[in-house]
Amino acid sequence: MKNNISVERKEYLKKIRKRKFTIIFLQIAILVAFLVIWEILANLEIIDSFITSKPSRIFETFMNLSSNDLLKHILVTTYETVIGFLIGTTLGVFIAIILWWSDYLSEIFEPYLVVLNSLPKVALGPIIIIWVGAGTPAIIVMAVAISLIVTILENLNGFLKTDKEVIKMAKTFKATKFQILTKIVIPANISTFINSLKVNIGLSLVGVISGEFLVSKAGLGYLIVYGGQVFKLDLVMTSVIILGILAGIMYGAVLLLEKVITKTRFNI
Amino acid sequence: MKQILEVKNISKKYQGKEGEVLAINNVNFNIKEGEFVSIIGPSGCGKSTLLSIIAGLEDKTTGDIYIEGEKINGISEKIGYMLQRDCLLEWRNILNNTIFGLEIKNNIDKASKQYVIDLLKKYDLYDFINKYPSELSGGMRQRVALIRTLATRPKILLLDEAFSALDYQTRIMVTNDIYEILRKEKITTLMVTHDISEAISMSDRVLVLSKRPGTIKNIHEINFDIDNRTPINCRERTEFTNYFNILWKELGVDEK
Repeated sequence: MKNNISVERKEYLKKIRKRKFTIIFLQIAILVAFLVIWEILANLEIIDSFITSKPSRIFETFMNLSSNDLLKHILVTTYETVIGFLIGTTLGVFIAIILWWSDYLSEIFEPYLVVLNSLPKVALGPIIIIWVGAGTPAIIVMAVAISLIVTILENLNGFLKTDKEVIKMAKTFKATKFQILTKIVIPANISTFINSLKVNIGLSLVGVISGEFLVSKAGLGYLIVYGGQVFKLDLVMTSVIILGILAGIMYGAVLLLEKVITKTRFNI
Repeated sequence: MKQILEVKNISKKYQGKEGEVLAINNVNFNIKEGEFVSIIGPSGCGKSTLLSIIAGLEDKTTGDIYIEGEKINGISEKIGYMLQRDCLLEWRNILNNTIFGLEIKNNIDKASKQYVIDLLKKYDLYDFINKYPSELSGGMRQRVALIRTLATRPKILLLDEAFSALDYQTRIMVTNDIYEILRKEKITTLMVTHDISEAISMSDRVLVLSKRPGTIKNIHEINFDIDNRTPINCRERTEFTNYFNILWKELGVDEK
């Protein structure tokens, strides 16, 4: 098979490879151009580097990780995000299962969920701080608060949309509600679950950073606020860039998990 | 031959906000071992409800159902049920789809698994046991669904418009396939369909339900003098058209 690739096929594959290459090349080129122009404009003092900082100084700050305790701040933010993400997702899926199990409960709680969903969770910040104290727990609760309701709604919605005919089929074999849950509803909703993972990792990060803005002695959110207050724009910019990278890595981890999950055919 | 299914005085009333609706009124009939019986009736006459009641998926208002002389309540082990769609689980391979019912009933042992494997071999699906439903044709999927139902060794099989989701050509082929399997395995079958020709081509008897509230209007014996009767070769006979005309009139689709 491999030996008889037609000319047209070769052309086609070449075209695809070329397109892929140019896209990656342009993506990198835009970034490089942006950084170079930024640096030049700052050096020529066309823009005020006190306000905008500049790439070389950001790089310097980044290299002096230890002097700024940057690594510690990164770890704190990562830790809070991961814990918030895990709690928010697990708790959310668990509550969604309970509400699927009892349509009576789900009807009772529906208006509360709807209101809580549209409420901006950041507004709960001060209340959370008073209740659980200013510190890491408050930040984690914030992350959970932001991701929890969405997780419940998304997963419950998926559970309820599970093919009724398939559930009926299981019932004809006298399946129990627990069997319907574990053998049909959950496996049928793996993609819903993965979607909520993707959304939640971003939401948890939002929760953690806004929590760190309000109360914290460490973390990237703290660094950003602190840097802003003392006009250390190098520090602010570096933190923002690291935050971007961190978000990218976490999202990548979820994508990797998705690949592993979808590749494994569960015979459940 | 011995009676497998006895349906006595079944009625069903629905309670709604607007009041009560009598959907089925006093239905009685029996099915003998090995028989293939169809129920036809105008749409909305309650034929699918009747089947759901026999399967134990829906409550009845009055009446009793007996299988092999034993009164049943709710979903019975002795009944197999096939729905309109094959309802295969896309995340399970074919083998695990066919043993799904056994698994639910906690009934997987060597003998039952061997029975499933024998059926898969007999009906040309054994080469596909590691494939997934999306890799199979509509007809093959329906055969897998049938084997899933037969795996639990039901005394009677209920087919609820089981072929109506298929396109016309596949449908004719699948009815032929399924009919052959049911005859070979000597499965007693009760089928609900809106398709008169499907009912004639497969059944030994056809029950005609009246429009709502559904009651039995008439029972027709279907006889084709063919040695190797199949749904397809029945369709070529003149009797087929005669039966069709009789049943068509009886359904009273024209009447208002």
